Amino acid sequence: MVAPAETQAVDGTPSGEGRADALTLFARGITKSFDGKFANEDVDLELRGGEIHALLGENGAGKTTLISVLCGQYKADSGAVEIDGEVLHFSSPRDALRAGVGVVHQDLRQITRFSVIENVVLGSDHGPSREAEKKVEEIGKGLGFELDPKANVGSLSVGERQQLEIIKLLYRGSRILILDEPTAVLAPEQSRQLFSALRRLAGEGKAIVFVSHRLREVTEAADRVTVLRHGKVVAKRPVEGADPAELAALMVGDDAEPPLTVTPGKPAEPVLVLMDARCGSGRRALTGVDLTVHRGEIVGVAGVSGNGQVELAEAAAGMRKLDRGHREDHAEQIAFIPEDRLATGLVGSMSIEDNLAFRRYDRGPMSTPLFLRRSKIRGWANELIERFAVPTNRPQLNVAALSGGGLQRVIIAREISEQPDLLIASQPTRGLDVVSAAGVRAQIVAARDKGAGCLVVSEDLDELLHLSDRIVVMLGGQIVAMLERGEADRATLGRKMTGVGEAEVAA
Amino acid sequence: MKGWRLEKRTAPSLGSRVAQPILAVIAGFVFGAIVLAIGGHDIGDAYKAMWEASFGTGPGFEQVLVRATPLLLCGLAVTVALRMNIWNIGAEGQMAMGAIGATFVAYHTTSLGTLPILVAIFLGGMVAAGLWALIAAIPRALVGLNEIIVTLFLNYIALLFLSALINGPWKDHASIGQAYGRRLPTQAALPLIGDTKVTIGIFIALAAAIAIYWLLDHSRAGFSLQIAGGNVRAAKYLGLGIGRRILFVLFVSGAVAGIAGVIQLTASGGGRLQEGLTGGYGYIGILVAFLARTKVQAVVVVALLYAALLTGGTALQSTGIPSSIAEIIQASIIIFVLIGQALGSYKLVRTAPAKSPPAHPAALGEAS
Repeated sequence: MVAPAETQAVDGTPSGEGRADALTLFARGITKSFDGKFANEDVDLELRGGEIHALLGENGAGKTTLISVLCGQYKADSGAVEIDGEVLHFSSPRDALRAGVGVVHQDLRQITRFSVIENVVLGSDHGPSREAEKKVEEIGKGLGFELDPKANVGSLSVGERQQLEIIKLLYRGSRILILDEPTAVLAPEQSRQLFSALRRLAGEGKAIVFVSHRLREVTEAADRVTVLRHGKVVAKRPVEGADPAELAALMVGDDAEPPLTVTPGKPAEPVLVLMDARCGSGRRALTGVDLTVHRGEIVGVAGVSGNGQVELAEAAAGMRKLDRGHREDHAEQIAFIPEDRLATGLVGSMSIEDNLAFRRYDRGPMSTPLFLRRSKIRGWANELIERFAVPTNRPQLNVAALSGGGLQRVIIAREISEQPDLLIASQPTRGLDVVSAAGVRAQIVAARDKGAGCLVVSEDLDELLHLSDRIVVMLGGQIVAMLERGEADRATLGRKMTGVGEAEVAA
Repeated sequence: MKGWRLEKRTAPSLGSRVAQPILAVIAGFVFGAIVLAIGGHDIGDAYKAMWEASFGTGPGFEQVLVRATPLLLCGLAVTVALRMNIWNIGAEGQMAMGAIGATFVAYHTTSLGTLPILVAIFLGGMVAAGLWALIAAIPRALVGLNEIIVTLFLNYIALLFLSALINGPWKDHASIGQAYGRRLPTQAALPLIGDTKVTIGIFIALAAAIAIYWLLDHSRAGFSLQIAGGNVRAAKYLGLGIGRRILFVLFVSGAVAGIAGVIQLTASGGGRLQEGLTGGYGYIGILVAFLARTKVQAVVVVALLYAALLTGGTALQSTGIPSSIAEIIQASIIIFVLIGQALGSYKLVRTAPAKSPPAHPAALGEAS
């Protein structure tokens, strides 16, 4: 157990380059409970102008609840939010926005049929105009964003849409920007760009809060960090001099597991072969992929989001038909953990136990030719819920009631428990906290060691480097590089992913 | 309303699920009472007449069962398709096609005995109605053509086809005035239960309910339908074919509606095709399925209650109350039930005031 006392020394001066202003935002003693369970218990958050503040915590630590209180979406049971020394009561996000508090939510709430400028002025009291356009361009330029105000939002990448959201808040005059897991959907390069923009904003005196459970980001980008665990603040401290391992320990408490050591795999015969696989069009396409996955190995797939990884995973799983080329597998059981869990792998209107039975309901012992055997389905579900720590005590509830991490566990439990010969996992740990992520990685390695061929698509390069026996890099719907374990590192992968250095190689 | 707000219920308790429709029905009758009072009618007499015409007396209850039979079948038909998120608006036309198919078979099996001919005409009606529903299912499965529009318009075609038959090739030339089809062989009449006016059709409908309940809630096929209906991408992910499931549910749906058509033909229809044979039950069946929230057990209950409401409403008219008022009472009960269903998924919660220093509401307006 890490003693909180050591780290709870609240310092008066923020580190980093920001101006040391008085407290811009001071949330004091925020308590919020749902059905008698505390999501936030006596939480303090101190935020100064000019600083980047990280809010660190596991899934369910209460980060999103805190943000929802700050932006007026929830009303705290007790506690107060002060802005510039004045206690304010927000009854809606609109009030918060007027007081200068703006939130970039995880799910970007934009109208995709509208243009950038239309989305910016939406909800303000005036329509799109030349001045508004100029202002938007100006804000964007100041941050190093290249956003065409007239572009249709539907045509933007996730990163660009996030930029739009930031511009929108600045346009409305927000002085306090709160970003809920902004990097969850970004490639490393995009994250760097985002953080440099945030740094510029902090330099202008804005106060920035971002939520993360990636320690690397916190140590690289934040000035100060507040760590939440089980709804309580367990540490608040400057980032400078903080040890990532220590922060991790604070975040997860005693639950921390020793880091997973991954032994090299023992590749055997091929289990999946793709030859000149082509499908789709435009950005969502495969333009000729040759790939062989052998039993007993983990093949990592790296790439900037939108370069065909989703399509590769779906094609490998046999879910997407190839327009040209050839796919063959020698697997009796294929497991597929899709990137978008609820949209692809689950049925939200069915119960958790039913969702856990999707791979087995049509054979014994879950059913006879005439009847489903509910008790067997229930028993199987309870077994998986326990083994994979699915956070529920009512498996009869609709699966859609689970949190993101819960959905993830349901899919992983169902897929991995089938003892697959071929396991395809897209972003298997996205949105999971440190402990759960480690658990999932261990499951993937265990599946490999039992002889499965694994294809793991991830935007977390550390994860890929950690797990993969080989890493292939995708760019423009093709595999542009293949690196063995040991030859790959972050820098090389980064270059290959962005195509930098390819020109020299080709020349 | 300050200090109170609606919060979504995660899982309504059993008590609230039972209490809510009962309260809704009571509210509907209270509203109906107001309408009756405005119209200057005696509320007590009116409701007594409704009660006696439905559950209150033996003959009344027989009438309820007679009407409940096609309602139950049509409600089941819509429910089957809805389990896969397919809206079958065409039960009315499928009933007509069921009756037509049965008539066709009956005309060609006149030498058979009662049981064989009944089995033959029921099968004929189910196949005809099922195939009729496939006309909507095939384009839906192949190119995603909206089944709501197609099934709806197929109703008109089916009803006009029925009309064409009884005015043309199947016309009974002995009848004068209204057009009728030629009479079916006498052994094709559905037997009555004891000395009541109720045919064994109600048992056929209940058997269909049990079969559908098994199919949807206890069979492998039903489980896969629920997956495919709940999330098409998940079905693809699991390798479940969507197209053939659409064909399957609409065939079954049409066939079940077809049974209702055959029962109307051989029971109350007087053993021959005629206009108005479908009686709008195909459309009310949609409402029954909706009110029952596609739960098979609930479809049985709702069909029975709705049938009571229909017979009660008819009785009301015979006491001299205008039919419009009877319909207002029917409609208001349905509306209150729907309101109850919508509100039932929320609960009223008192918002506790935050324990904190006094607010500065004015400050919010100025800050920008």
